[in-house]
Amino acid sequence: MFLSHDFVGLVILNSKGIIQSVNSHVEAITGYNNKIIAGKNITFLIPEFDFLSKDNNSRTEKIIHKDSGNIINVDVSVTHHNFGNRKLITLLITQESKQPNGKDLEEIKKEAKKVVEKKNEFLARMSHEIRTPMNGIIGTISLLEGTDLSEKQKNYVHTIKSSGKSLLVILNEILDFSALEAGKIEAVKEPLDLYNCIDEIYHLFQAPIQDKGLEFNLEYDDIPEYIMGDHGRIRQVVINLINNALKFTSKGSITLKILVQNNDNDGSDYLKFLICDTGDGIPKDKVKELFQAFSQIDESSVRKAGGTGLGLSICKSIAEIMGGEIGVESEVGKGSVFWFSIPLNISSDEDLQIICDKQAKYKEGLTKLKYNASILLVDDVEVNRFVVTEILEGYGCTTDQAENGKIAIDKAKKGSYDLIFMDCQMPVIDGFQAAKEVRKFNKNIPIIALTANVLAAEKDKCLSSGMNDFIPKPVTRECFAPIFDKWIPSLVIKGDDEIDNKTKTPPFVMAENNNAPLNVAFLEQFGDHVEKVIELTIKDADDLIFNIDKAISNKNALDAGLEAHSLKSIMAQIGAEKIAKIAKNIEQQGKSEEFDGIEIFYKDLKLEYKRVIGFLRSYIKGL
Amino acid sequence: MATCLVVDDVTVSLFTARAFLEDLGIDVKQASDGETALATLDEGGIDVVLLDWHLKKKSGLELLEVIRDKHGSDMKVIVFSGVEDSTKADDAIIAGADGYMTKPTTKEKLEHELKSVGIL
Repeated sequence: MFLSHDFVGLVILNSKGIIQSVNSHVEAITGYNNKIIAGKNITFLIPEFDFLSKDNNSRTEKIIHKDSGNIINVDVSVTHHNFGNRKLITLLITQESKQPNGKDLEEIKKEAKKVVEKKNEFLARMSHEIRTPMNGIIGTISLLEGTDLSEKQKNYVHTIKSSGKSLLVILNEILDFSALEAGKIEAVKEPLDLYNCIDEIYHLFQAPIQDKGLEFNLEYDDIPEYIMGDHGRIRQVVINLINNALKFTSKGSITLKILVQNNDNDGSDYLKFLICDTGDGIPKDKVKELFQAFSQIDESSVRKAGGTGLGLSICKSIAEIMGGEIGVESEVGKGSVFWFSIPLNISSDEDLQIICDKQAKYKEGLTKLKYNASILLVDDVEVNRFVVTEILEGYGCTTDQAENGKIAIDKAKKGSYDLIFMDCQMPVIDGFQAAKEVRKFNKNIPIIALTANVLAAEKDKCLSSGMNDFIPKPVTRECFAPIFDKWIPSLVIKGDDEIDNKTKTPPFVMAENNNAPLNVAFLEQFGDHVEKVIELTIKDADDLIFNIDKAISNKNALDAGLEAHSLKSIMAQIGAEKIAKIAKNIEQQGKSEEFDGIEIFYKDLKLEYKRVIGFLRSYIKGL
Repeated sequence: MATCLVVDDVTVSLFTARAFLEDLGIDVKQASDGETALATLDEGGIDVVLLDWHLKKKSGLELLEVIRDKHGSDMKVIVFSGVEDSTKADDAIIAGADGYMTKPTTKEKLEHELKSVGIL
């Protein structure tokens, strides 16, 4: 059959325009069976078709599809043939756009969207599926690490472990990406402690950035202490951007800047995070592609740095969900500045009051109690240890740390503690096993599990391994008071009632309960002089910090220590215990001329100083 | 009315001590280093010295020794210093201080010390 053609509809007409024969594709295009069409005039298929016209060999015509009634644009090529006296006309019909089965664009879009959705669902499901065994693999590698291995084996294990961790990061990105595509991620707006958020990020990166021989700077202007926003998402974007900077910077510094800017167009304020590096920089023509999914600058950068190429695209989506923007300014060879901004919503007193009320529900006044307890904290994750230690210090406890169950057992044997906080999932010896071991030589010490798994079965497991109680992760400060109250009530130090009564107005109640840089009661003792005291404190402290800075640049540990001593004393005078403690550390390092230690503490000092200053300024405003 | 000379090289510490002392009804003179302190003492009219133990130029200990040499045991001297230096209390007392007080300063602490040295 010469009329059968797979891609093009072929119609043969006689000299009067009557359809003689068609191939199968004509049916596909028009919806008409060849038996129906045969013998009909061509105008039946193509209305107003002038089959005699020869001036245009190829033209665009409209066909009405039999079933859907849709109008389809087709290209028709007309050829006149003469076989002696017999004339035949052939029409070659092709669809203008490839619209299989005559579907219109809308339908095609819908179908494509469905496919994308299915793909995302699949990715999400697979990520979960892959993650579960991956956790098993990584956990077991950690166990393997703790066994007796030769040097060679240790190296192998280390490689498997770091590869596993990279794989997990990639999986998380894919998971996030699919969730964002599927519109499943929303940003919450709740009061958040901005200083706390920055503090957390700073501590997270301090070690890795310094390990790479880079300087890590933190700069911020007058930024509000409490804003409305999504803590987790802001953190995620900033972490991602700093991670990128870290990947592509081999010498120099990484600087995190936070500032408030005014939008020229509508006059609204927004909060801007800038991550400045002194890395490779990005060529101008590549900048546009950066925030698209699956893009990395070039193959060599992929080889150098790895990754899914999803990170920035995820950041962009998250920034947009929060009503913000993301961008980059970069120069090859000099470095890049990635920035991300969100509309600034400062927490109102009402918002803070909500938090205060919430906190008040956890036994009034209890959070102000202090406990003279010596605590052993067992957790394998450094950040967790950091967070819990901070909370415990806030309660007046002294804390000793152990990174795994084995160390914990040793320490529990040798030391005398009042209570143990025990993470459950840990390498070497897990929390359950460690609790069992501790019970063999100490029946009485309260052991409290810290667990992310709040299922009843997990709780039973904690109790049956000899632990007394548990706190669900992520932990908050409030979780601890009931535990102390229940298990070490005799170690309570009675709080000062006067302080309680004087600090009932927000934001200071909030600050008191949470993570305030200083105790307001110390300021209140100055009565009418308080404003002057604050003014002088800031002036003196500025000078002292300037002097410390100078001593550090002169590599003079001794001087830095002396200046820090004075700073400690004036900070203690206004009840700023945390910064006083940091200053004391510098003082001690100075005495023993440990220069490296001073530099590390100095970064903490500057950060905490910002908090103190911010607090003092808002305190004056509230007077 | 008694007069107290406060010696401290940090401005805000001078100010806070002054605020508390004036609340307690004490006249206050101040010096931010040892030399000024000795000069002020020479002018006379001082009943009690509140002396920071950690002066940068001339240490509190040195200054205390000079005060004892020049003004004998009639001049009351209260040393004040950071909390964790409490072992220094003994040093200060041995060196001839009449009282020892830890920082941060409070009105109550000052009142207590001033009473114990017989100024209040």
